[in-house]
Amino acid sequence: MNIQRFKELIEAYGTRSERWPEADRHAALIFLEGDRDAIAIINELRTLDEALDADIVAQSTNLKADILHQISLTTVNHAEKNRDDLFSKLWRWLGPYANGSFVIWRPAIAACIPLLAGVYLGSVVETGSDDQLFEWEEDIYVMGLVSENEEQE
Amino acid sequence: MVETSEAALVKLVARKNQAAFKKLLNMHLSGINRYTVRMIGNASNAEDITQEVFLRLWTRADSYKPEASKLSTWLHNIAHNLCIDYFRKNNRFIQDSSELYETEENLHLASGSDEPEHELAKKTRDHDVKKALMTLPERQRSAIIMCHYQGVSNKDAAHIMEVSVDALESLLSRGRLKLRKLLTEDGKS
Repeated sequence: MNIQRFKELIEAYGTRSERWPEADRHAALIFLEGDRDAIAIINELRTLDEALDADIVAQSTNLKADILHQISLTTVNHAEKNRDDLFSKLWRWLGPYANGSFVIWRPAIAACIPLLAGVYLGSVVETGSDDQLFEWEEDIYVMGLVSENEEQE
Repeated sequence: MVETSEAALVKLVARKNQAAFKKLLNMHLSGINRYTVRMIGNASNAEDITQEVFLRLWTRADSYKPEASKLSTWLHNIAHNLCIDYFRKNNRFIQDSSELYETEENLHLASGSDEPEHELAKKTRDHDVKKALMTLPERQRSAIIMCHYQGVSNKDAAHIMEVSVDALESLLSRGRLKLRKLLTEDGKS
């Protein structure tokens, strides 16, 4: 450290040692202890630091709440975008074009899905039995015979 | 230790953890806002920029590299770039002095004081500091705000401003010389 470097240091970083660069601080403090010119420089430039230190910025009261509100809005938008992405991914997958080539089996599979669903439902869901239907027809036939006999009598 | 836990919190923020974001907001909001207010000179516009800084933390947390810089430096970097963009867009350098940001002292004065003359002198001096800061070219102002008020190291400030440490020292010296001329009797004489 010499007087030239010390002066440069004070002119750039001010007179408070805590603001001096770590690499120079120790050497500058030792230099300051034994050099009258260095002390004179500090005394000469101290006023500016005092003026700057007097300037204080007030903290806004609503800023934190505003930021958190913005964050919650972007979170909702993000979730909606993800949902849209899932739908458009499925839509793209079902289309015949994939990676620039024509792939017919994808829409074919998509078209088969309702057919397979129909076959499955047909095998699982029970309909009324044929015997029951036959019994009803028989009853109606007998009722018809009975009413015909009554008319003849 | 703090840096490690900050890096862990940023990882959580990248996974959209709001509790982690709140913690980081509590740690850095006032510092970043002080930087933008002093840079822009207008509290309302500065708050918009501060909001944008933290929105970027929320949306781009995964781009933060803890091994490359401290979170504070990363946030200052974003704030600095947004302020420079603001000046470019608005083509505006010196604020109307009536728009300059309020300080805590000014707010106390507005609410009444036992020593009005003393407070008035203080307010005038504070106003002079703000006005003087706003007359500096934006790069000199940014360098002084980072190194004097924000406690950013010279290496980090040089990294943020994309200059060498020598160039940063030159910006600081020229800026402080101009402030000295504007603010102190020694500088005026």
